[in-house]
Amino acid sequence: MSLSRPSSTELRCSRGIAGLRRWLRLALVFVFTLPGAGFATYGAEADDALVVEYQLKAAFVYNFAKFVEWPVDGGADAGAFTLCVVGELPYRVMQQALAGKRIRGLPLVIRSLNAPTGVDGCQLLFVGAGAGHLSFAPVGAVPVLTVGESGDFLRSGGMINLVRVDNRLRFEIARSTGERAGLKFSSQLLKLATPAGDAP
Amino acid sequence: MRLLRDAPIQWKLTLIIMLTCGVAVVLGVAALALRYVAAEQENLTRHMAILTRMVATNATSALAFGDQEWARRALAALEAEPEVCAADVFDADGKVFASFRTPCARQGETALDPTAEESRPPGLLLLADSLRVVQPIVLDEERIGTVVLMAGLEPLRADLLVDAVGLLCIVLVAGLVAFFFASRLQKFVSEPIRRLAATMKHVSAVKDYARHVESAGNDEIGELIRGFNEMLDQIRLRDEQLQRNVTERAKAAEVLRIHAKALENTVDSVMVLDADRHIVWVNKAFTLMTGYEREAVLGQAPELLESDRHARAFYDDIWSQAGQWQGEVWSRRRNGDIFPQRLSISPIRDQGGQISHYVSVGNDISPYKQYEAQLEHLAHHDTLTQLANRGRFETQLDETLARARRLGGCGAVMFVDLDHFKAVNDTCGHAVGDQLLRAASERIRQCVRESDLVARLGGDEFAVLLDGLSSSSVATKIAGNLVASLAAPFNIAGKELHISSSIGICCYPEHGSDADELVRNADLAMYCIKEAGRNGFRLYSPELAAASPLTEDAAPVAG
Repeated sequence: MSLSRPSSTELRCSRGIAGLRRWLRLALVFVFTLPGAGFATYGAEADDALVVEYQLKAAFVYNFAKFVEWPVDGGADAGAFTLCVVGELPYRVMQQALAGKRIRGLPLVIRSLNAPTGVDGCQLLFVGAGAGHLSFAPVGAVPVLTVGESGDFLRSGGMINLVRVDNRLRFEIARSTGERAGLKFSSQLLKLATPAGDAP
Repeated sequence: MRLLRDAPIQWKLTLIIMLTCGVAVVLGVAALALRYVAAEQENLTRHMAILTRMVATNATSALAFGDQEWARRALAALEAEPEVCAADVFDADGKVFASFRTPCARQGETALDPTAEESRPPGLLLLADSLRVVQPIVLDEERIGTVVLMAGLEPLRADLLVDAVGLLCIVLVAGLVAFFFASRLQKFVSEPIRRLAATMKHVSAVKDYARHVESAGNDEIGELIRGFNEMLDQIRLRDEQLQRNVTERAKAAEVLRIHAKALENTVDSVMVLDADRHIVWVNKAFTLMTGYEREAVLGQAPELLESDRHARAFYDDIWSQAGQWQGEVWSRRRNGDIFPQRLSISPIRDQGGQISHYVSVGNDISPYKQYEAQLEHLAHHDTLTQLANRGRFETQLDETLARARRLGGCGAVMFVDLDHFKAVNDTCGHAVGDQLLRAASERIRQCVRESDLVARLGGDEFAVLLDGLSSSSVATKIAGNLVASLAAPFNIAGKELHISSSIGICCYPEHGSDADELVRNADLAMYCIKEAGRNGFRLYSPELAAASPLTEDAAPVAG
């Protein structure tokens, strides 16, 4: 009773104290997000536009991990979630953008792969466009989510391909490929995919 | 309050029942309504929370991948919910990511405030404008955004209003039903009371005590009705008794009136006295008898009627009688006349045995007295001559002789026989003979003293009793006068008649002391003078008796 009463008055006087609080909170958010923004601008010294592109893709890749379920025994390393990146720039940007992130409680480990041969221990493989489709070998039945950014990535055995549609970043999903590998796509993810792939 | 107090019991009972029912129903309905409102509110709140959570879930991936189209699509599903007015999806930075508005959203409200706490008005939602539900969008334990949903409370209020109207209708119907039952049920109590009151009014108006109230059960009202009926019975009994008493009293009064009339009109004189012997009432016969008007004697003592023919002791004796006194009294009329009356005086005693009144009933017996005197006269006197007859003569003689024997003194007895009367009777007729006898007896009366007794013994034979004589010579002198007087001629019916007389004298006590002896001796002396030639007298002497011994046969021949 004595606890709920102040909150109710707080609610009623939303233009007073609550309004002040909102501004305080916004200020805090701004202060905390400032260093991240500084990093981002710092890493994009080579090609700013490309870096921004990969930063966005890093966020996509990171979110994919959250909408895809891996088989329980699929993970080689149970202590971490391993993201393998093929391509130097993507790796560098992603390492910066996703540093310290966690997926399903596991720390995200980002590994750079120069050749797509050793996918052991990877749960998610991002194949940058710079590496070319030659350097990419489909991992087959191994439960590794493969994300690419080239036009025929799905045809060459990839699962998710990032594409730009109407100047917006979208993705295509080859659901059957993923399911063959023992992965399960969330319907939430599937509904957002562009219909280019075999996704619904 | 006064209106309520004067209202009929049935209205009061109905009011009480209705008030009780009404309070119960209103309280029940209020509790129910509160519970209903709370449930509805809870329902709405929960529903909105579910909606918000669904929107949040549906918008998670869209937000994660920055797909505003899909976020809007997720919000568009809310169109099916009429309560939802507005919904916004904010990203982690608090910027609007997707927005949903319906016409019910308030004008000018472009974006909802995602930083505000979930606003859930305490208590009744009805009083608030809107319900806000805030749901964070969390992806893998990371808050990536917020969904804020605002629901209008108008539909809820409208629903509740409809329900309230429905409930009110139910309450009204329940009230009507309750009124129906109340007006029926209250009759259990009020109807017997109403009947009782109506009967009471009827009874007091018509005085119909035979009417009864139909009893109703054994409750207090039933007892009241029974008590009332018993009271009516008692009143009826008393009434009848009273009526009877009145009738009896009327009859008694009638009887009294008749008695009073009878007393008033009876020929007997009635006089009522109080215990102190003052006249309190007299009747008409009293006035007729005594000449005193009623008003003149009321309060008077009865002594005003007393004559001086009785001694004081006589009257005292009458009044000292314990019971009835009857007798004959000489009384005096108003005009002073003395008259005899037969009087009956009876004391009237009260219940304690004390004399309260006397009733004196009197009859004027003076006519009877006169008649009695006449009879007496007839018995002792000769009707023709009005002289004493033989019986009276003998009685008087006995009395006189007895007194003479007791006191001394002497007297004489004379027998007078008219000579030749038979011849007059035969020649002149009985009428003349009777007149002659009357004239002769008158002459005899004139020759003796007033106190001397002259009697006609029969036919032409008379006797004279002379009492208180000084000597026998007085007797012979009177006898001589008699002979001379009777020898004088009588003038009767124009005729001159001549008769003579023969007189025998016998004196007492010298010639005898008892009546028979004296009569015999006088008779003997009379026969002696008749034998000696009539028209003279002869004094008895013993020698006379010895000289002519008369036989009984000679007397009629001489008469």
